[in-house]
Amino acid sequence: MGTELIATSLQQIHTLSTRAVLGAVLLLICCVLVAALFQKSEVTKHYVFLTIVGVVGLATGVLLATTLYIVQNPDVVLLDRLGL
Amino acid sequence: MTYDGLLLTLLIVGIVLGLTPSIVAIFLALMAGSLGRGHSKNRVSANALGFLLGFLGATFALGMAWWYVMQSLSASGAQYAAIVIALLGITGGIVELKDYFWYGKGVSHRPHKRISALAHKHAVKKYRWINSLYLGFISLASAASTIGLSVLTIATLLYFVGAASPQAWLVVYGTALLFCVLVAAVLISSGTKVSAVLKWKEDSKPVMRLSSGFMTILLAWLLLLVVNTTLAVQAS
Repeated sequence: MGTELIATSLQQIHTLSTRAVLGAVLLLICCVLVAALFQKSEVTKHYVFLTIVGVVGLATGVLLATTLYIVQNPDVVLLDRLGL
Repeated sequence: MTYDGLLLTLLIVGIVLGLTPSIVAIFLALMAGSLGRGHSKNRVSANALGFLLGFLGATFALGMAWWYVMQSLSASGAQYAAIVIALLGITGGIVELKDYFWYGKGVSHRPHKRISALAHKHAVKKYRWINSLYLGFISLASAASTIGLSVLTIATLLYFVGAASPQAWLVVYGTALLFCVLVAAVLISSGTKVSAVLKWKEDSKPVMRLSSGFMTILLAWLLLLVVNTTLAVQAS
């Protein structure tokens, strides 16, 4: 039961981190396209920049949370590597 | 991810981050100063080489110093240090993106006045043979918040992936950072006017800031992905 829980949590961390980064990269590409299309509008600049900050902040938040979890629970990785 | 994949990633990151306007500007000032004094082609090439070696040496020294700091930390200490470096990188990247939209307003990556004055003094006013080496060092200091941070991030990354020879990786990364300057040096030595390269640099500044901002953020995310074990780097 305990081993299954550890394996599941590590798997979830990996899935969550990957999805956060890939999702953010896709959204950032969209932001760049919008910024390139409407580069002369000051209002659009503000919205695009705020969206970029939001997307980067969200993805960083997910990565930070998962990394801090790993740092504070090193046994999770250790047991996973040992195959327990 | 394999070591080959990591190498390719570092090369791409290095080439894109090397498009930092301040580094190109200092190099072009050195070239313009040297050509303006009527130096021979060999001496101009020697100045360019001195700049490249100065920059490469400063990058290598910074990266290795941080590598040894990471080695001296405990396992959890190194992980916390990596988190701090990643957060600094992300903040630096966001400031660089802000500079793409509104350069110079609020918090900005504009080089410090003292560094700009030093660069001008050694590139244009007072000429000594050692200046080109010194300017290479100054150019890294002028881009400390982007390229300097990226060197720390790479050194941290190399520590976590257990790279056997971080020296070689740092030299490769430093060379990738200099790719744009190398292209400029080749163009100038083949007869292209410094003013033409300078115009290209001025026209490309916003794109350079945008790409280096995104690249800094992606590099920081890559570090966090390695620290939280999502990405494991293997030999093959």
